Amino acid sequence: MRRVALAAALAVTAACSDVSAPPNHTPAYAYDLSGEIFHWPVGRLPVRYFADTRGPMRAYVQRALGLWEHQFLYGEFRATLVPDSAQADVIVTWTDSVPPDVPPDNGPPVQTCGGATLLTFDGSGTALATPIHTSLSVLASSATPGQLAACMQRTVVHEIGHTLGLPHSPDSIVAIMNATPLLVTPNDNDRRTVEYLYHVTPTIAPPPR
Amino acid sequence: MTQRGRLLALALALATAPLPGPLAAQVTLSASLGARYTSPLARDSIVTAFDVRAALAPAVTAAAGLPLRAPWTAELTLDISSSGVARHERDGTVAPITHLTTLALGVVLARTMPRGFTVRAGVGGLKYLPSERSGIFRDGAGAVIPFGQVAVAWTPPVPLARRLAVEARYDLHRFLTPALRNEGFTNSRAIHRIAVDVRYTLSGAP
Ligand SMILES: [Zn+2]
Repeated sequence: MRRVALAAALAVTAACSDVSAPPNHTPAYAYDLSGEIFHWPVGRLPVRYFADTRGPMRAYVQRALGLWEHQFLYGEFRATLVPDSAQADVIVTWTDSVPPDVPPDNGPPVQTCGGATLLTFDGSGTALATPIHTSLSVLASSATPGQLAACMQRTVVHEIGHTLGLPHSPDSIVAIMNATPLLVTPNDNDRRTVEYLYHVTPTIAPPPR
Repeated sequence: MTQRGRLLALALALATAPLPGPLAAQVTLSASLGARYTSPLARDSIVTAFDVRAALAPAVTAAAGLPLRAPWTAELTLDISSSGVARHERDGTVAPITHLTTLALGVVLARTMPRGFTVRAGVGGLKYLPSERSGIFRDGAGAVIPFGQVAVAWTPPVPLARRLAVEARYDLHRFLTPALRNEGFTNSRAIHRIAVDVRYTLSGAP
């Protein structure tokens, strides 16, 4: 019986050689902002996001944050939605009109919306002075409400990518961070780049709380 | 009853209550409380090298034992430990990832030894239960993992302490989550766990 027990225990342990090498983590595109590096430090997690309370913005931002959080393996980025913009690190609003809350059209992308993310520096130029501000706008077009909703969803993901510190990716590399985003979610190019960015020492400090 | 029959009876005894009278009289129930160290769950290098580690965790075990031919006892054990999991950088940065509970069900063969010692060896299945699907657990925790374990316990030669034992336990399993596999890790990692605890025999012969 003793032999049986030992054999069983060894059967489990004998195959336990530890030869797991780390995978390649090369970024897919440049992650600096004109030579400067910004990302949220561990001490500022979870990053506090305020989303415009009108229309589907809160749902869009929640979805985008979930997608970006899912790109990380090692606790590099976490975010939370806060109800008060005065408590936020990032404020996401509509520029003017509020689009209808309808399901997105999953057909070919139609560029019927725009987005902008603004980082405001303090006098030293090495720290943000105010919360990051992102705004989403409806462009004049004959697109359907569903096409507009699809554009808003992917543009919010793209703009939230900027709030994480990502610049635009070159058009030669397909990514959600292309200047005109056509993807619905971040892809492997975005994942590898943002993962790497969050392990580089930043040169820009986050805004004060 | 044959020894195989006794093992089956033990499993049935644990699955159904109350126990039949003669069997109940033989079953020993014990519980232990201690602390567990777990070796790094992952090692990686992105710009610089770092570890993913579970913190020192409280470990609770419940065991039901059925005596076989002396000095052997068969035991069914349930072990639970719970702690935070975080990334540890070389510069001291600690980034929390999730909270993790591990649940292990094992079958153990124990042998009493001279001078109050008992040695145990066994196998079982271990399941990781993260509190949220994030980080290395973002795509789930994977299936039940087989493990092997050994332990040594010592009961002080004091009449008042005959139901108490100080125990050191070691177990070993392999670890790889779906997210780590998707990231490019091809081989699972050997995880060593060491627990030190105090065991108390609740009922039956100590
Ligand atoms: Zn952009």
